Amino acid sequence: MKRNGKLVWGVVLLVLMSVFPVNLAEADAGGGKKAVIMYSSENGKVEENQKVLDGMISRYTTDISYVEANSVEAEDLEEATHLFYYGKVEERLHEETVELFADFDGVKTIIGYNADQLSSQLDHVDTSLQEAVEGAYEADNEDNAVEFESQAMFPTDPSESAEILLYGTNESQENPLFFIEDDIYYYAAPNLDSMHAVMFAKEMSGIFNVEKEEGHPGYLRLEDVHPLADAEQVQEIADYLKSENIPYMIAVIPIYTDPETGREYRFSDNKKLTSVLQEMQDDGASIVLHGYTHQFRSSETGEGFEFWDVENNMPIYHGENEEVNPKTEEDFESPEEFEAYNQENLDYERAYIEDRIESGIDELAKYELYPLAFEAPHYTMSQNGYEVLSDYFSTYVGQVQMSDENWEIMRPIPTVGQPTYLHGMTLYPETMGYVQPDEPDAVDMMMKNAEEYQFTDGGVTSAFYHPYLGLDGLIEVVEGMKQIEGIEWIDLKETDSQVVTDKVEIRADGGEIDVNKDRIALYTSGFSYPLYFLNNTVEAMVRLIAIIGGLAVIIFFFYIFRNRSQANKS
Amino acid sequence: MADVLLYTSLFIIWLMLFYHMFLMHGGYLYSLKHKKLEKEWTDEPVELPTVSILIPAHNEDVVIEQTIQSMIALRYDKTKLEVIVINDNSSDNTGHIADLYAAKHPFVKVVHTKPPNIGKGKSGALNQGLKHATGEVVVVYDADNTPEPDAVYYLALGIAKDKKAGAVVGKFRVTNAKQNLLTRLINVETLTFQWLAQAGRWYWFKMTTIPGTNFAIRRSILQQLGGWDEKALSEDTELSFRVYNLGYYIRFFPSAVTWEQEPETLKVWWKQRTRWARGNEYVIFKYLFSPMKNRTVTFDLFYFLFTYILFFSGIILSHGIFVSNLIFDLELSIGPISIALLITGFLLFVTEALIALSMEKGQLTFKNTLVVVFMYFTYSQLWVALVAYATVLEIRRVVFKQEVKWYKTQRFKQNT
Repeated sequence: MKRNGKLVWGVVLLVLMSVFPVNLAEADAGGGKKAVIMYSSENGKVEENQKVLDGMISRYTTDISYVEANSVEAEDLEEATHLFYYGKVEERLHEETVELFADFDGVKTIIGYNADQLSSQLDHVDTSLQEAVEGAYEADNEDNAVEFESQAMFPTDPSESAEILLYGTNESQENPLFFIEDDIYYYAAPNLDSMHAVMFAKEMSGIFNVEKEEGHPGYLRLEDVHPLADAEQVQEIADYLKSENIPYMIAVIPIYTDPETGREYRFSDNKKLTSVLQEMQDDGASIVLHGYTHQFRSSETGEGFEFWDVENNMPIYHGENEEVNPKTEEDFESPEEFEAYNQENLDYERAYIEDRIESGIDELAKYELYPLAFEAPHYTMSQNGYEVLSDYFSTYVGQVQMSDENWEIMRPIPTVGQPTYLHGMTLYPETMGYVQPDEPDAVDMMMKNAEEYQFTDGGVTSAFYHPYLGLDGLIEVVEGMKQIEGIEWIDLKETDSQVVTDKVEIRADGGEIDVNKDRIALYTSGFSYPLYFLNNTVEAMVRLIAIIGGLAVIIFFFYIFRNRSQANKS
Repeated sequence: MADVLLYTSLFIIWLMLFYHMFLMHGGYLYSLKHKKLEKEWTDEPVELPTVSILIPAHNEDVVIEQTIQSMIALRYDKTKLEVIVINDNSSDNTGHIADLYAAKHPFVKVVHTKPPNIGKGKSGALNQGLKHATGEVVVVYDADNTPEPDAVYYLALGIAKDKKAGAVVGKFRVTNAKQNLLTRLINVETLTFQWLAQAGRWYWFKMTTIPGTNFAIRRSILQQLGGWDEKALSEDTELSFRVYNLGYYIRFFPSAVTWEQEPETLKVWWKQRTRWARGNEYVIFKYLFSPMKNRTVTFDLFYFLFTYILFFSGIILSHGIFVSNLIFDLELSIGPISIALLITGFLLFVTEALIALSMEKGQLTFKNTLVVVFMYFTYSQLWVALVAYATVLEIRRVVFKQEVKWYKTQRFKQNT
């Protein structure tokens, strides 16, 4: 009885332990804050601009919901603490919408068009005109300024009572760009692309009433490292980064497919590289899974798109050799049939992605390379894809494709967050770009980008680099990045990143990686690992043979000399 | 695929090299131990046994006289000694010379084999001699041997002191070592064999094999065993196994030294060694499938098996890969470690041979060191070919059920 009693308590404790962190995390998700994005957009759909906003808000709360402006109801705003109206297009707002906005007693923010309908005090915003903006500075600290390529903004003329936050400038004049009037934060531009997002993000801490954070999270990622990468070159880079003592990431592709022969190369085919990567992982690197083969159809690894059919500019709803003719609603007799067709496509895509992601994680884990995050090849992935991905990864690195219509729609988000469309994954955005081989001023351009993102407190400064370009270019990038004031190198091993498949569980834990793997299941899936293991063992034995043999030779020489000196004595 | 073959051959070869390393180590340690033992045993008086020396001789008139003279020069109580020369079907002067000495020295006897017991090879001759032997201990010398005066004393001492020793084996040295390059090579080979294989195995496993000459065996054992196996080409190895099966061991006692002639031409060498190799292969297969009482012997049998079948196959395979890799690219993954292995293997060979040479007075010379290096690339490689050849002959003999023919090593006139 006594033993049973103990057992019961043990089980209760275990259950509590496993339940509590989850609950705590959920309770913490919004920190009591709830944001609603109310929007007016071209066809009533959420598009990239709202998603950028979502991304920026998600730094402060992950409790974010969307509502189309003219279909908003009181219950949509229940318990909300922050209301964002994003007027991407001009639109007549319903009275009910205007009323609900006026009655909202939390923090209100308006971006772009239709502000005059929501507050008469904002009718000075002239949305019929667009002014060029080539720079900005903080109203209460003119030294805090930034310059950039010309963008568009609406000319504004806030009243005396308004609190100006940011001024937008061009050669001839300055214009209030972001200000508070009538207790409403207003941002005077319809697009949150590039610098607008950076400038908007700068005042987010005010909107959420938290202290401005200091410093700039930054990271460096080595890109497209696959099994045929040059081990010596990577070793050189590893040694350099180790000596610099900088944590960094390596985007690794587990399989290299030769476009000519179709032959697949794995890490078992390049043991030297494998051990270099293992060494890097031990030193300061975190592995980022960068697809499984980084190709679809017969393109080359590192070149191809893996999770997007770029030829048809659509998600992967079909096999690589199948004929593609996407259907629209008109092709179906009933909406239900169309719905069923869509679901079938999504299921197909899910199965495809699941297979590749699981294979990718497992394949790396076999060679003791433990990915802590994912980066989609060419950043391309459908919205459904990110959802599938979130079953496996808790961290995403790089840029995010924000539309299923066109892969090219990507918008950088200046800060770290957990956008809703990543389904719980933390996004470490990429902001500085990379060293383009043909661009002589590549690093200068990257540093200019970094400068822009530095305008925002907590603005991420991150870059990537292709190791095949050699060490010199990397040194230039690192030397540049070291100059970024307040850069805080992101170490994924210090985050709470985790990666889970049926066979492997990987958790970052205070600078270490905790791994749980079902070794038997993992190592027996396919022949490559057993062979690799055998090969490694054989090589280790051969080395041991050489060492023992060498020692024996030394001992034997000693015997010979002893015998000789004794013979000489007698 | 080439990788698999390469690693297979590599592991086989190095398993053997490690075993040899281990044996050489034992050989060295035994050389240290033996000096003390020799002193201990000679200082303490003991009743020495009566000894019958058997010398099988078939057309040996070139060397027989010198051999008989060295018997007369032996320092051993002649009342306890008989020398039996077995003149086996000689067509030369052997019998006559032996008879002359027998007439002068009462302890020298001659046995002329008579039909049908003639020309049955060494085993047959020894069995004929054994019938006339009266000593408690039988010592065997080949007709070309010149034992040192104390050789028989040490062999008999070993038997007298060690009750568990069914036989005692001495050491043999090469008379004509300086004759030519071949005999120099053989000289290195015999010394290395004795210190590595004989002394090494004796030190670790209390195990040696009878080398065919310069050994003493209790006559009671020979009688119990029914003498030598007349079908065996290498009757010595065969006899060794049977002695172990009776529960005795064979002691290595290198104080007993004999000097013998080694082949001076490659042709003679080739024939003689082919006989040895075939003989050993015969023994391997005779005993491989019959249970052995003594575990050490089983182990030794596997060692023989390993040497003759796997080791040489490994070397041939590795040679083959080496040569084909020079011609085609086999995409071997092994890398620079293979060079380290080649060099280490070579150095092991050299150092092991030099240790053996350094144990003998005046053998560790610059010239001999060069001979050892040369040996690795020539003489040792010749052995590979020889074992392959012998194996083919043995397989053919078994398949076609051929009769074995005993090849008697041709002797050379000594310029003494």
